Amino acid sequence: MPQITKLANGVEGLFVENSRFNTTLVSFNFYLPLKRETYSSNALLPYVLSSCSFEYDNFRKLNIKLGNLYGATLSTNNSKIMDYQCLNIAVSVINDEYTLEHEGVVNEAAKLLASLIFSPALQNDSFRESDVNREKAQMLDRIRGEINDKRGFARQRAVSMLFGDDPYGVSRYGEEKDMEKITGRDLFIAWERMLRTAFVRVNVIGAKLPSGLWNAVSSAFSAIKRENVTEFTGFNTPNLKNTEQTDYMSVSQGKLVMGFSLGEVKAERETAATTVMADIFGGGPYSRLFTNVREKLSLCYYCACQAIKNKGFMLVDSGVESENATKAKEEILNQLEIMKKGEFTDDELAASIISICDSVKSLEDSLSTLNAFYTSRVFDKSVSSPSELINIIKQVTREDVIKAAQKVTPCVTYQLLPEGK
Amino acid sequence: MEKTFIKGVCVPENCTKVVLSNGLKIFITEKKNFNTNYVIFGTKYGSIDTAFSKNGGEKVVVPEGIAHYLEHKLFESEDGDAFTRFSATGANANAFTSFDRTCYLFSCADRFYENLDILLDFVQSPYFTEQTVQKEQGIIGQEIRMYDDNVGWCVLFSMLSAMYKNHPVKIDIAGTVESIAKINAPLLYSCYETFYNPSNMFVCVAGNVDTDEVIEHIKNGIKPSSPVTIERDTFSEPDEIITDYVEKKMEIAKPVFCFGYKEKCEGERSLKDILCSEILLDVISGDTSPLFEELINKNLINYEFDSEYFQGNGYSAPIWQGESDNPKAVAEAIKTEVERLKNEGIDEELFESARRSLYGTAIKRYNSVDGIVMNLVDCAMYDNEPYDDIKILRDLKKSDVEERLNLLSADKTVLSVVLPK
Repeated sequence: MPQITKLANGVEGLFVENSRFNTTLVSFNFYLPLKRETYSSNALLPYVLSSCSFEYDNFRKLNIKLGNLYGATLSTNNSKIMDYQCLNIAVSVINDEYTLEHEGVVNEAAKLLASLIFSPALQNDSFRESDVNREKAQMLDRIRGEINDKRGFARQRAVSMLFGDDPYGVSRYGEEKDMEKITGRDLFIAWERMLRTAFVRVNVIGAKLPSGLWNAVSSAFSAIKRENVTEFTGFNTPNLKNTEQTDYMSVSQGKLVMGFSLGEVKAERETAATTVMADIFGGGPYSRLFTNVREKLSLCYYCACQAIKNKGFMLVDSGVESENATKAKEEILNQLEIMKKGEFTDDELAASIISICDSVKSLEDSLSTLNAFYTSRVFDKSVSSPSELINIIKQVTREDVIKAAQKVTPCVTYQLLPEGK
Repeated sequence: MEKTFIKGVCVPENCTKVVLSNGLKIFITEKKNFNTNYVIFGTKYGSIDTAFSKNGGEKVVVPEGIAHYLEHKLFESEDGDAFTRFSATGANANAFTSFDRTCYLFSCADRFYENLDILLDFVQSPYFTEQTVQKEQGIIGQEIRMYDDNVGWCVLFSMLSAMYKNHPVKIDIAGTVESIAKINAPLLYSCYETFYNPSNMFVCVAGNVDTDEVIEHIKNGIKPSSPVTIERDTFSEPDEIITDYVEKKMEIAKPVFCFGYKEKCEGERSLKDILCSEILLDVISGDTSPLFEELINKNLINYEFDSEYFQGNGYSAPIWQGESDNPKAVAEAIKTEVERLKNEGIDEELFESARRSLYGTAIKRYNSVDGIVMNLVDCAMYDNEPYDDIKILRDLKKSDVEERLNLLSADKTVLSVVLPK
């Protein structure tokens, strides 16, 4: 069971003791309200913070240091969880006993990570413009480059269509026009706001807690006036939009993405039922979408669904030929009707529950999935470990699944089709 | 049956290697504190094996993409498909084909031996009819089209086509819509009977298993057969390139490039050569190098920039891929840096940072059962021992890496560019 330690107002440390790994992961997660006006500057922040610091004032020096710590890996992430924006900066490093000369690298890597966050390279209450411009150029390339991955691009278009003006519709890396305007001073304000107001969870997964880490985090935050700290107040499911759109591009394969509302999914049991429903519908290779849309009808190469339960929607995405897009859409809706009528077999239900439980059990064998599990469940006090989640999934019945399917309603259809077809 | 116990180097790991009398290689690593078990049953047969002879018989030339086609078809048997069988046990099953291998795999937390039986059975039970072979053309055609829209894939194969005159590494792993149209059941059986013989195959296992029990299970599950001798085409590839620049256009945001040096075409590179080349790439252009800093600061590359030592039977090339508004300037900068390093030698600090970093990566592999199994597969394919890379990295000298620079000739480079439409 993980141990949670309160370190300051709205700052928690979570330690998952796990000796099966020969590395230790330290991950700082900052949860802020999801707002369009602050999204892009927040999104840029972890990238600038992890590129250099007061001590390592250029990225090359920092990277040489990381290399000498046996390839300690710095990773950054920016994600939307419910109505919150989560900024993440983490380091993963091999444990001391595996180094060539048994050097103490874990404490050093944890200290390095904390220094990147609390002691960045600043100039007169501003981030250095050279650092900001370098990382902004990277972010602008990521935003503009979203079109390179046609599957991801089509999915994002469907999410934007579903959410309209709701900030959840914003693209993962932020808006191009907002990103272009960010200055070193803007980023300094975003950094201060993050340290002052974010709910903070520091996850440590490894054989032992780096010594002095909790004290160091406590004392770093004691120097900061913590106020208006982000609190969990549930999540808002806006009225999802009902629209259709088709874009034409010079592509070989078309994409069809359908967005659905999951209806009200709040109780833990409802969430578990929705997980099983979405899995039977379009999860693994045994799912209805894979076996019917792909295998029996050969309408597409992939056809899968993903339920984002903590925001009340579901996406079905598929790679199709233009001439098959309408047929594929009809068959996806037909399979949903089958779910609603409960015309799936007991074998399908059993296969799905076994498969989900198997996957959840395997979560504990990966540092990154274990970290993602605790990061996404920070506000959910009802499930504290993967094994508790397995117990809830095992209790899902056929009736629960039918009820979950009956709440699903189709909302948007987005198609990206080859030009001239 | 030969059985060898191999003790880990620098990691508290071990592995048992078994060679059965029919030639099948088995590698097993016990991970008693893990929930997940991971298995690959594979064959040394990939997309480059397009011409071969069996038991000294006549040379056979088969359509491009047939190894991958065979992988798809093997999931089907006379009484249903393997995915359906795995769905009853909750395992997560999959397969992949690369240039030199085809691997069938599953991961599971429970019911390991049932899953192992399914895997051993379906891979050894080919069932191809003209009708089932025909049906797959639609799905694989869709997969080929999906890759046609993948810019990273296209820019790599354009470069390989400009680099290799005869070697089939230049052909897409899945073949082309035209080449797969020539595939029929007798051809699939011919390839199957040649390459899916235990003497050309391996089973690699990691997880919470008992070594002796796994060996017994595999021995009982392998069908009787006589070993075959396979003569693979030697390709007669010239040392020269075809052309040093190629470009095409796609629906993307920013130009994408792939740049590489064609090395002298010999058989397979040794593990030490491969590791030295990987360190060399890190020294030339990794994120600790002066070149990387210069290219980022001049805004010539972004963090998508990456390098790889691309090698296999009869081909090897250090390659760089990335996005740039001026790919020619990036290629020139790489060539200049290579020449500088040839004259001035490698910086000791950068060598040490790169060596430790690669050593750390090798250690981190033991964090996951899939990482362990992928390494065991490499060992089975190329007759290495599981901890050889750690030993080599522990003892590697800067001069070993510098020797690899001599393989890079400025007149054997190819730059492939995809421009936005």
